[in-house]
Amino acid sequence: MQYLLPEILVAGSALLGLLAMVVVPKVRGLASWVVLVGFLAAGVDAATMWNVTPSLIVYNSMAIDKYGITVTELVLLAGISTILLAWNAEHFGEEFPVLVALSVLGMMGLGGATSLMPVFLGIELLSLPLYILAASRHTPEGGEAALKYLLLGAFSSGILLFGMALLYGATSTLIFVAYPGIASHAQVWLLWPGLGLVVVGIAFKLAIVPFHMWVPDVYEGSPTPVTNLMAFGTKVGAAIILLRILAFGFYGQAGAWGLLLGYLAVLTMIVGNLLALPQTNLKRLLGYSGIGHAGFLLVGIATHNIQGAQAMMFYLLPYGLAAIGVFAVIRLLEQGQDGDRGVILSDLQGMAYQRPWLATVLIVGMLSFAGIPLTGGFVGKFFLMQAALFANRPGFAVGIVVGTLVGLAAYLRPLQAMFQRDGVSERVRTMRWSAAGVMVVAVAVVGTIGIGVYPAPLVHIVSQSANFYWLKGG
Amino acid sequence: MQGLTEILILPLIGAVTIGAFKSVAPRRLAGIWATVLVLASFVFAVVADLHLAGLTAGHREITVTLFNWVTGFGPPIAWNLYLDPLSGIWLLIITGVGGLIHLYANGYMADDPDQGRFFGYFNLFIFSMLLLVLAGNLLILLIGWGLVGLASYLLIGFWYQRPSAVRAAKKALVMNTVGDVGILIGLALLYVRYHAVTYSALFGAFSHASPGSPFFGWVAILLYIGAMAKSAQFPLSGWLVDAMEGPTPVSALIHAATMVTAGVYLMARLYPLLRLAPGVAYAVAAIGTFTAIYAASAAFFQQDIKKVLAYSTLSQLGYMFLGVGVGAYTAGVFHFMTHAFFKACLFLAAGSVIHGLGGEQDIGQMGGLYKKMPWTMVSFLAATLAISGIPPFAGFYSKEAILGQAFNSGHDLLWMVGVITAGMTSFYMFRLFFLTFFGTPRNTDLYQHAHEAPAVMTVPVIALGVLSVIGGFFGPWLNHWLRPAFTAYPGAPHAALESGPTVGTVLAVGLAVVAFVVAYALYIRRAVPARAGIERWPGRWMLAAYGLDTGWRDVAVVPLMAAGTWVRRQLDRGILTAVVGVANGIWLWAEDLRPIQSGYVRRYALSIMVGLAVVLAYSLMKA
Amino acid sequence: MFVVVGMSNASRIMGPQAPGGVKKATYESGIFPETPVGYFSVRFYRVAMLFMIFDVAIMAIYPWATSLSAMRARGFYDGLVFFGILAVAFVYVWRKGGFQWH
Repeated sequence: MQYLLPEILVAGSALLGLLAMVVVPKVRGLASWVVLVGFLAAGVDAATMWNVTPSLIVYNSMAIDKYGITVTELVLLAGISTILLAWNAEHFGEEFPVLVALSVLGMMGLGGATSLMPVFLGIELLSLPLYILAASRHTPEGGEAALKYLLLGAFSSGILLFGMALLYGATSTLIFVAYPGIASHAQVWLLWPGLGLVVVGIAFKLAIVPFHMWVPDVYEGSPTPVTNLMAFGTKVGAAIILLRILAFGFYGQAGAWGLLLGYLAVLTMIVGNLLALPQTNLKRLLGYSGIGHAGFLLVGIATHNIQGAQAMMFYLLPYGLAAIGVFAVIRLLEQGQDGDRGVILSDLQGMAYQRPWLATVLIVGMLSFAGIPLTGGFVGKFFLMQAALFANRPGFAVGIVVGTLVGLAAYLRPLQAMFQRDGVSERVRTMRWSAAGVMVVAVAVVGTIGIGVYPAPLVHIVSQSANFYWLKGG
Repeated sequence: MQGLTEILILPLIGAVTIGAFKSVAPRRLAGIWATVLVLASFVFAVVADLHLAGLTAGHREITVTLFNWVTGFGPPIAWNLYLDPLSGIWLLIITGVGGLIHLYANGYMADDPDQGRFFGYFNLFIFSMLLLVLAGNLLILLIGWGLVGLASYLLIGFWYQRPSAVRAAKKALVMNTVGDVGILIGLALLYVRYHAVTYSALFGAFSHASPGSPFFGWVAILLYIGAMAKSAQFPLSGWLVDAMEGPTPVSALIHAATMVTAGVYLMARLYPLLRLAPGVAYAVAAIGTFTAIYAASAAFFQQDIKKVLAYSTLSQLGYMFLGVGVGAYTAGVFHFMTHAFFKACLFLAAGSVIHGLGGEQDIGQMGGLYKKMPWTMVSFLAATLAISGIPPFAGFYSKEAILGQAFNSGHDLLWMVGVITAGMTSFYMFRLFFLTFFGTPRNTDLYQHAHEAPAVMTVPVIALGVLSVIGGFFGPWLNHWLRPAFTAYPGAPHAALESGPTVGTVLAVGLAVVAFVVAYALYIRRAVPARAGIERWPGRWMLAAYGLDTGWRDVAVVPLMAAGTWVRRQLDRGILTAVVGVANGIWLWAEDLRPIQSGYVRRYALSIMVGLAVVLAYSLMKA
Repeated sequence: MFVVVGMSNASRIMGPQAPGGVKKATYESGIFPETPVGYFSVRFYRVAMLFMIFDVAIMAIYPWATSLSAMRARGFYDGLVFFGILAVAFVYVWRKGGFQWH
């Protein structure tokens, strides 16, 4: 029971925040504080469990291991940055932090799931609050985004659930870590369609082409902190559960899904980055870039070797740090004049000269997305490439290179806009710094550069946590 | 640590501090601070080299691992610094000559309001170049390589108000990127095959390989493309001449003394690889020789003082590659060293002239300046004699060593071309010298206002002039110093300096003297104007460097531009939306051809369904 | 799946299609349709949803109550936690005025 303490802390902070806002409605922003403290406490508690002997709990449907702990820390980082970016933003509604906490709880559940039941619960728990959060700006675009997300999310949940039912039919158990022993003599005509449906259901959350279409609309319509949570947290949750299901549950059948995922990965990398090129709205650009990065993540799963698993886990953090840095920049710009309008490229004009620090954050983030050396993104792409080569799949490596090159052009466009000399946009002139925003960008920039220059500690952590094959014995 | 980290870190500190405080610190302080740091770095470099000299001959190398960069998955990669006699020479030149040029820049840039930015970039360049040279593995070298290109880009475009400077900077960056990609691919091939990128591991593996495998050929060609771009070998040479748009100290430091010799460094460093790819080694020598004579002839009729020097730099780089290509590694490095002395001297002296004439670079407007700027004239003369290969000046010894070994190793044709080029060099250099400093002043107005540069500028010029005189005597010492570096691995049997046939020496010097006499007769006796000969066929053709730029424009730029315009036009016409539609899924037909805009949920769902059908079909096929 | 898709679309494709005025008219058991009665008030949906949510909770509480003796104290306290969470939600809805019609 004490192993679930991080989850309990987050859930408790959500409930407490809910109570706080009705019991002491006069104290503004109390819920944000409660949830923030809950996140921090959960993070510290999860970290203290690092050396716990891995084990299965809750009737074998949750695992306590370094994999889950790493995921917990990652999604908490996403949650904390979301709370900080929405600090003092009362027009999002006072329930905002509570919903964020619930969504993060769902992501945490995915990290430890070893059974299809918590997988489904986790995905629903992370999605439902996001549907509401997407609309929390009370604009027509927000409503449209929320409705689209809801409809398509429900659609994909149905697919996922159907797939799980087929898997249960084929194997008579929901505990997917037991599949390696069963899968070989299960009824294949139930097993494979079931697996395909589950992969599609998760691929929707991960935004893999062709299940990606909702992403740019939803990213654009949602408030920036929520987009941040979607881009970082959701992706972490979906990617790691896909890895655990496939690389563990269907270990022996890698031939059947590895290549399929590889095709999807290459398609996603190229299409995502290609579509990022013509975008002028920064959040749409990030949406497509997120699609492209989902493709990179998928390469790590598709290679089906330990290097791939490690590389994918590694890549999550540099991607996430760059994402929260760039979203923080957008958020800070939105705090200037007419905040509800989306930030477009021409809004960046003159930023490099007028707001050099803000420009630095954007440069670091974009270069990391693009995979320039000395940023975390470069090291991550390097590892993925290495994993693809070790798996003897040069096609994936070529996909990474092509995707990166296309992406490079997309990411340089905002920088180009930023360095334009003729005049300074109104947005850049009127933007205001906030303490919470400064904290977020500081972590993002220091983290991105730090991982790029000295990735060894993170590599150490990741290589330990990606080693979740201990489950095979248990 | 033997101070390697300090050598590297001092210029970086300079770049960072100047960048951070340039708006608050006094304007002149940036230059002084930058100069002090580079000179301190020079002191550390001397100490490190002395330490290196104290080691036994068989183990004359220092490796420092700053930290493990990439460990855990697969082969580890560390931030290695590596000092051996070869990189030791480069260290001394970069920090020593670099320090002198920094000092000079204090005077040259004194009136520029933006000098903080200038010195920040300048220190960044020194740091990048040191990183390149001190790198202990190819990946770090590539990072230094890229940073050097970036610093060069920033400095060429320093006066960004001039469109020509921005264009030149872009051109340099594009051509250099071609080289970077070459190195990156070569490096990746080596990494995949040997699971290592450090020099020691790779060279150790090369020692056991036998020549002739196409793998080594490809790797060597890819790495040579990198060297070619950085060192402006034909046909990637056009950017170097345009790079003269940058301030003159930049031309002296980056585009003459240090950065453009990075290719020579890389090729000399990779001598074990060149052993395995003899065809590539010959190509290096042949292309080098061709670049030498091509650039020398293009320099004949140039009208801009810096452009003459730029073409002469190209030509001398060709000599260095000739030396490296025929296996005369020490001679190549020797020529790099003397070239750094006399070419930096020439550029700085030219800078003094430009400075004294208020920015005038056209040699048609100069003349008779020896009275006004005697110190500059004397230094320029020393360097001109050195580059022309007149004994006993520096260039004579190094050029002789290269040509001699080209002859000894049986490359008769290359040797012949090299000797002819030596004569041509003498002609165009003395043409420049006479037109600038002698004869009657062609622009009396400018002449009246000409003045000798301040001491902060003349002192470095004179120091480099002295080095141009005595630099050649370092040969035997250099020979001894570099021997451990070129005997560590097989592949450089003829690395040591050799002397060529006496007849060759006589021929080369004789041609140089004849060329000097011809230049004297033409430009002093008959006072031929600078613009003579450029109207008609050979001159006009040579002035335009045989249309290499136009060629590049026709072959690469125009088609790409046309393609870009075409795509742009299609984009305007709305076909791009259709193309994007294809990418998004060809099933997005009918009413709304702009799926980039907020689309319909049912289409998104349809996309999911189609994807699902494909996935299901695939998994059923597998089952 | 192909069978399902095929059958559901077959009638649309193969069946006779002759839309006309009479066919499209609303059929109200022989009575001619009048003006629409309008939509339900959105408040109705809110209350209905809240009812649903708390009603569904009964589904969990009933089996818990019947098997309490088998689950002993541990099961009892787990159930209380569930109640607690439900109670927080109830308090929240109440204080937010979720049960008021206006």
